[in-house]
Amino acid sequence: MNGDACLLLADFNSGNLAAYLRNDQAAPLFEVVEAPYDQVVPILADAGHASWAAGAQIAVVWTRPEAVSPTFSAILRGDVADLGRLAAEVDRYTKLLIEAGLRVQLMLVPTWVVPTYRRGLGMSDFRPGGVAHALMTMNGRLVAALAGDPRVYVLDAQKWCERAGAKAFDPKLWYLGKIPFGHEVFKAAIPDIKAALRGVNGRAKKLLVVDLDDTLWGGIVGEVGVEGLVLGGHDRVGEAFLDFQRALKALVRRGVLLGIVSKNEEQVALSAINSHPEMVLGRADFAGWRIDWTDKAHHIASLAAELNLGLQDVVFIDDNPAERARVREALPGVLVPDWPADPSHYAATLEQMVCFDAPDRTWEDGARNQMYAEEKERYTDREAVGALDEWLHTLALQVSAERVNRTNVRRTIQLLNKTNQMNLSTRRLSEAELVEWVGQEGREAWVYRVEDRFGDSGLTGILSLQAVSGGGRVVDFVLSCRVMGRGVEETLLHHAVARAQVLGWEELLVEYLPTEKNKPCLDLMSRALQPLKGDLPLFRWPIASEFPLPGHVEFRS
Amino acid sequence: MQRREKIAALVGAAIDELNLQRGPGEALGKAADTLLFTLGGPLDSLGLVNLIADLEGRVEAEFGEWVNLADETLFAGEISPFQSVGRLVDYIDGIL
Repeated sequence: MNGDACLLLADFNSGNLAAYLRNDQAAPLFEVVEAPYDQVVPILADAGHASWAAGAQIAVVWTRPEAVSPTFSAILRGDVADLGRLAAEVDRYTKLLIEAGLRVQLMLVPTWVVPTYRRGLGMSDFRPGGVAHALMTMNGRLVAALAGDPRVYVLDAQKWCERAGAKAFDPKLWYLGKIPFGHEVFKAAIPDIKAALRGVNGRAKKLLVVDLDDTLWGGIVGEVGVEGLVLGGHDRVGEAFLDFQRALKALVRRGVLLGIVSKNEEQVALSAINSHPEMVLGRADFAGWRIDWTDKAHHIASLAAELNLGLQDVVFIDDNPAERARVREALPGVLVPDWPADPSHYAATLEQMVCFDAPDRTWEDGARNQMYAEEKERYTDREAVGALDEWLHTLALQVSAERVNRTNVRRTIQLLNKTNQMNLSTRRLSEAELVEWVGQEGREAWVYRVEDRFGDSGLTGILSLQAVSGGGRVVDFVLSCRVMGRGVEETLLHHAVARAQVLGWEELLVEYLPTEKNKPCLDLMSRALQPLKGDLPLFRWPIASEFPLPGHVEFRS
Repeated sequence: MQRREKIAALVGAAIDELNLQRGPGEALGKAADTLLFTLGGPLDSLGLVNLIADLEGRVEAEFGEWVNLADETLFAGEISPFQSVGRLVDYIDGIL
């Protein structure tokens, strides 16, 4: 997604929001386009409206509940209202959002709020006829209707108002300029809007590296021993560390990788993780660690490289301000948040970070740390076994192919858009674009699941093929680095050639489009296929012969 | 601090808030001769709305008195108090 223009659609004067967005220096930067004031429904309903012609990739659609629902407006005036009609009005509006969402790659819809000074019916406000009851009904229907939409996301405007406190609503601004919110609400909204855009662009942070002593637990394990650590128990500090670990565990379940970089004796530290009865995090929760007395900046860079991540993907948390300063200085790309001295604030500080926001959560996200742990075990085992061929034969590697379909397309898009190294053409597509591409004649796309005796690596490969004059060509050849080097790449080539034979193509062409990161793909093609002359590296495989399937792979399609 | 100095400080704080919405190189100054809402001046109508709302709130919090800075007659005269920072401070000092 280019994300270079953002359309603001509001039933109020959005000038202040636009100004704050334009001046916010956090990535991504984009042009802000304001749609005409108070024309939300006509613009949503009209695909040909000039507001869409600017080609904005992102739209923020922010309305007041009384502007969307005449019934809600009546409730604000104290009239008896038909709640069935209220629901129908919300449903009509939500349908418009879903339809208009197809015109952009991302649509953000803040929840409806009313000024906090409105007390409605007081103690009866959450009963039918109350403002709070109606507002909750409206937001509930909105959220439910949009829950499965791949493009339209609801953001919590109530949180922005709470953050703004007494300055959330300023009637002066409304009467003077039809601006319903104070400046602080817009300022609070911007980090969430930017985080959503980063998430959709694949820019969410992927690896969180933590220190151990006085960060994951209280005390220095090398001095006080496992039994002397402050963690859990009936102790305010111990409970705070426990809650911090729970917050970290929740991030792991969202698919964020967790790593350790700590100055400690490795065996002592790992023993604490393994044996402390109150540890929430176990070794399997960590994708990797570096525990010794070496410079932490060096280790963070090395851990990121091991996990095939860039430094811009990494967050580092350490209680020690000197260590934080060192990492900030040595690795400017790593996000190193200021960290509170009081452990009571650790969990809250982590939970309010917006840098991990990502649009989807798939099974692979939640299991990613487990898969990296399995990967670590594989390679430990590989060292013990010795020769590569022997090791590969012990893996019991199974690769299964399935066509891209509704159930796997979301994960396919995730993999397509974030894989850099083993990626033939580095095509970046939205879900809708991929579905449209596959739907055309002479094209097909496959995804691959990889499993071995250590576990299920999930959906880790993509192959797409397209008929061209006299044969066919491989358009996408994508493989997660987690399964590279085990014969899976050759299995995909085997399948590509087999499909070409079925389709009656005379030859299969593979055109490599170079990027800064995809040389491993060139190396593979150079090794496996026959080169052709040309400006760009071009390879072929004669269809008369099949591409051999590696002997250690069991392949199903 | 004299009342006029207090008012100048309030105007300065309101300008700081306005500057958060302005791009690099577009920040408003706080000197008495800094132009605000006038022909060729840097402030547009939305900026003026923000300045009025912010400043009215600050003046009320400081002096316990509401001043209506959006009275249309203020903009009708030849010399609007919103022409410059100095005129705005003078005007508020005069009506309090």
